[in-house]
Amino acid sequence: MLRIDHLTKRFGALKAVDDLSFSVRPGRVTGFLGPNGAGKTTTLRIALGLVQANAGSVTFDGQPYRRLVRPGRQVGASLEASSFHPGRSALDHLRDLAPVVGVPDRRCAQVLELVGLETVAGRRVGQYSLGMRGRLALAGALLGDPATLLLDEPTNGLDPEGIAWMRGLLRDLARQGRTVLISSHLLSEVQQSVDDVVIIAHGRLVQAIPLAQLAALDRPHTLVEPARPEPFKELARDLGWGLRETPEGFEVTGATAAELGHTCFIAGLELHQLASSRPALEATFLALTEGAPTQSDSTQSDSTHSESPQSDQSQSDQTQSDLRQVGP
Amino acid sequence: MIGSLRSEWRKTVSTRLWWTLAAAGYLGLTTAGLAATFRLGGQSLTGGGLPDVANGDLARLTYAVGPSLGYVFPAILGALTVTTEFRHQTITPTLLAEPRRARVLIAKLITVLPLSGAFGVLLTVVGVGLGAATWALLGQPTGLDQAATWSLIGRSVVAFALWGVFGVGLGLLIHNQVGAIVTLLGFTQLLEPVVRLVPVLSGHSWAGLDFLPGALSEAITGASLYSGFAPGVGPTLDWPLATVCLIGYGLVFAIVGGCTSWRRDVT
Repeated sequence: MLRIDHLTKRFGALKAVDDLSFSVRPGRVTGFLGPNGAGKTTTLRIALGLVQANAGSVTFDGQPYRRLVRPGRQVGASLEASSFHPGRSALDHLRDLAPVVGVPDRRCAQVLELVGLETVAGRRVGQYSLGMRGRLALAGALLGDPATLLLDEPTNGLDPEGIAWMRGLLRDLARQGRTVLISSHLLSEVQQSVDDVVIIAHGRLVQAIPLAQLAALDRPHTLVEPARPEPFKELARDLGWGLRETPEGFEVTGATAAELGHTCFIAGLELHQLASSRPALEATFLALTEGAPTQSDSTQSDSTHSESPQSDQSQSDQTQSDLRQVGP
Repeated sequence: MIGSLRSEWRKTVSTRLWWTLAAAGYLGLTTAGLAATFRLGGQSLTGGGLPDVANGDLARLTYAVGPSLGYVFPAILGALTVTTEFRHQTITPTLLAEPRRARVLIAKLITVLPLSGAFGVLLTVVGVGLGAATWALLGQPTGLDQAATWSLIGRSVVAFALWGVFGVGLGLLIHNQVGAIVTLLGFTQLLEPVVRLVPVLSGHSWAGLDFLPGALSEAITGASLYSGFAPGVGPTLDWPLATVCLIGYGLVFAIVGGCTSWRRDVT
């Protein structure tokens, strides 16, 4: 059980993490979501003792990370896919860590096999693609066979096949009773992997609920295109429906399509279109994070994860080279 | 702690750094050693202005070429064991595996010793081998039958090993790789030699100069190549005191670095 309790971290005048509290349960995959700069990476770095919080605490089964007897055996983490010496082989990278983590050397080859890097284990990491580095970072997190896994943007640079593989692996790990927390700035990227979501924005908690309940936060609405807008508006006002004008007509909240159709029929209003609609989960997620109270300056330390279309492009290029290098 | 030591050792030997530095040291020292030996050897043939030539002192002077010039290589090695962690962000996995940072720091200080000591053996052997071969060819005493020579060789290895600690300390103080290397080279290769020439040129000596790191390392070895060219620049401190002082540099750097930059947030 990972517990984050009233955590606050300031970088100068900016509050990167602002009185953040939530807990992550074992046996489930939890998505740690928020836009870039929301404070996800900072929170993870504080949890792992790399960054000192100004207030609050993070504990693993009641113990802060620095107090854990064998931290590498209890908590596995991957923070960036770039924390490797380019002149060192993947196997050596893990062998360097093994004595401190407290595992025998043969475990290094085992985890490389688990992430599908066994054929390139002796190659220097400088020649690895972004996707392969991501797999190596995951191998490092799994080295100590830990009960808790904290993975920062683990799907970065992975091709669709790799994402599907990671999804299965994370599910298996959670099923074994482990605590799994994965961060992402896109709900859609982890939507099929996670059981619970913790959504933060501007360093503050927005929601911490099971994914299924996130869908229930959607406000269903009905799309309608009346022949004459004015009498329809009047009717809606009388009945207390919520109205939002769209290019085709109106988005109505407070009435199902059946109710709306019936009412208009009775009132003798002609409709050209009537449909019920449910926003995509991603839209709900975005609405939640956008609607969160804002801070004047929201640039923050995990801005290193660029979200521009250009970087998406280079990422998919990377993905292709990944396919080439991992392929037989 | 054993795990940290093994981990640091593996980190140092799992990249090409150590042997490229050893090769660079070997090549550099061979060149410099040949030049110095030939110069002194040539002087001995023409009989002009040599330091005390009796009893193998001249030979020992050339044997000091290793510690006089080669110490910068173990120092760079030591500094890089810290700065590469920041340059390539491997400090993150390092501190995830061992969040007690003092342990990592101590492990780095200890782990460098066998490697910088091995540099010492290699570079001392190079210096002594070149020198001894030259003197034997010239029919001069090599001094290899004297205890004083072997004492010099042993202390030369110690000096090399301690420069490794000096380097680690400097790296802990200055995490930026370029910054640490520029500081190290600038101080040891430029600033200190110039400062130490001031008394020679001005005629005013100052005891404080004996405590500069380069002077300490020459005092440990007990012979200075510089004194062959400029009499009066040679070491004056006892070698045990000099040893303690050179260790002191490394440890003070490490402690100051450990209390400041080493404790900072790793982002």
